[in-house]
Amino acid sequence: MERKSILRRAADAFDIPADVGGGILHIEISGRQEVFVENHKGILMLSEEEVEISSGRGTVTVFGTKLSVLAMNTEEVRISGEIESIRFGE
Amino acid sequence: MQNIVNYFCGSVKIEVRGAYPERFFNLCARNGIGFWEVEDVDTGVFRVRMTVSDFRKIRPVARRAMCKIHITEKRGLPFFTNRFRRRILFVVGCALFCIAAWIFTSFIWVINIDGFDGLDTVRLRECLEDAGLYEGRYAANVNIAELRNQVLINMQELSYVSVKFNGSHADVTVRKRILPPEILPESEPCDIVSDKDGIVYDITVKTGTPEVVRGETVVRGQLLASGYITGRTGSTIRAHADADIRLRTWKRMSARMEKKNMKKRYTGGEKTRYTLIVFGNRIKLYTNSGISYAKCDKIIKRNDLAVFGNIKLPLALEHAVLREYVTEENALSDEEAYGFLGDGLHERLSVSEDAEVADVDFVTSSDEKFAYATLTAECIEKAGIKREILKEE
Repeated sequence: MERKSILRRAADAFDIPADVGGGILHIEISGRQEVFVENHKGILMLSEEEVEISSGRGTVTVFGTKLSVLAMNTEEVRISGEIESIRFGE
Repeated sequence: MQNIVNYFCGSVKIEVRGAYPERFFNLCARNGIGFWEVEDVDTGVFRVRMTVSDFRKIRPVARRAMCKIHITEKRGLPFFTNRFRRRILFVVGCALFCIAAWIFTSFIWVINIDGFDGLDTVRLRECLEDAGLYEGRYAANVNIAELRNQVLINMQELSYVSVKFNGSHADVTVRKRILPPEILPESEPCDIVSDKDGIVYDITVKTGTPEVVRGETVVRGQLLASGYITGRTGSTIRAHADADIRLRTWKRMSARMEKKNMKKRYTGGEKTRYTLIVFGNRIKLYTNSGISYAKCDKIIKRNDLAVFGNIKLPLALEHAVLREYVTEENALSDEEAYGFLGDGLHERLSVSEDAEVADVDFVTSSDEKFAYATLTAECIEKAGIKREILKEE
């Protein structure tokens, strides 16, 4: 079983959203057109059909067609295109 | 908004080519280099857009990511202005145009006057000119408050003057002073006396005692309604008389004209001359300035050059046409002469707003040399002015 971080345990204890503690991936999906990922650790793979993003402890892969990175900085990445699915990996 | 900022800062589209372009993106993000519009062009080839300032930082990042970079597109104001670096004359021309536009729009080229019904426009323009508002004046030198005061002092018939500058236009709004009629207070006893000669057409006395009856002939200054009222008991009180009185009056005008007069006949000779007027200086665009015609009419048409509709420039083209004529003796028939006389007399006949013309009589006669006409107009008009009853009376 995965060991919870101190911040995560503190967030659970005080009943506050997990991402407030920091370090946890925060994903927002707008329809099927756009995905906004916060607290990422970089892009691992980028193509029109697949965008794999590192979360530090695992990966998040966005599948779709005509995918592209709209904008990216240290913490955030915004992906647009026809999104088909999102998969979490180890 | 971001697009506008990017346009002003300038942006470049670069092609990133390498084994792991994703590493390049991650390094960019980690080094605070923002980018957008990432396009997957081919395997290991991406296109991405970034600001010019960020582009200057990517050389070490690209080296670390083992990627090759080259610019595919430049967009934004810095690149647009860079194009003109070597076109010095063009830049100087643009600057001169801006300066000229600024200078010329700092002057007043058009003066619009509004609200001068019944006022002498020429005099108002002269007054404005004396006060410092004229075409070609530098707008910043005009002191509006002083100008307004000066115009109000010089033209007593004005009650209000406002001056507003709208670019190179000066909008002047004036209001005519309406002097109140001299009114006797209602508490002051008064009589009503006639202010004209005539025959009483009708009389309605609201307060006071009528002193004339319908059909009676009255002369100027005659008492029409008295302010003294005698009661049933025989006592007399003084009151403020009030009455509507209309008189039948006659206006008589005569005129005569020679039956033989001189008439113009144009010979067909015509000359056209153009003159250019620059800042008030006349530049003749013709060589022979002498007029060979013994008699001629000169018809001048001035075209002021204007830009953007009605912004006048200090340039004008004057177009003068000289038309030669000779004068010939012309004999008028009696009817023609009466016609001219009648037109002239009818034009001269003017009655006040509260008067009406009941009948017009036009009598004509002629002798060998002259034609005579007399116009008599019968009018129905209001009469009566209030005259204070002095205590001694």
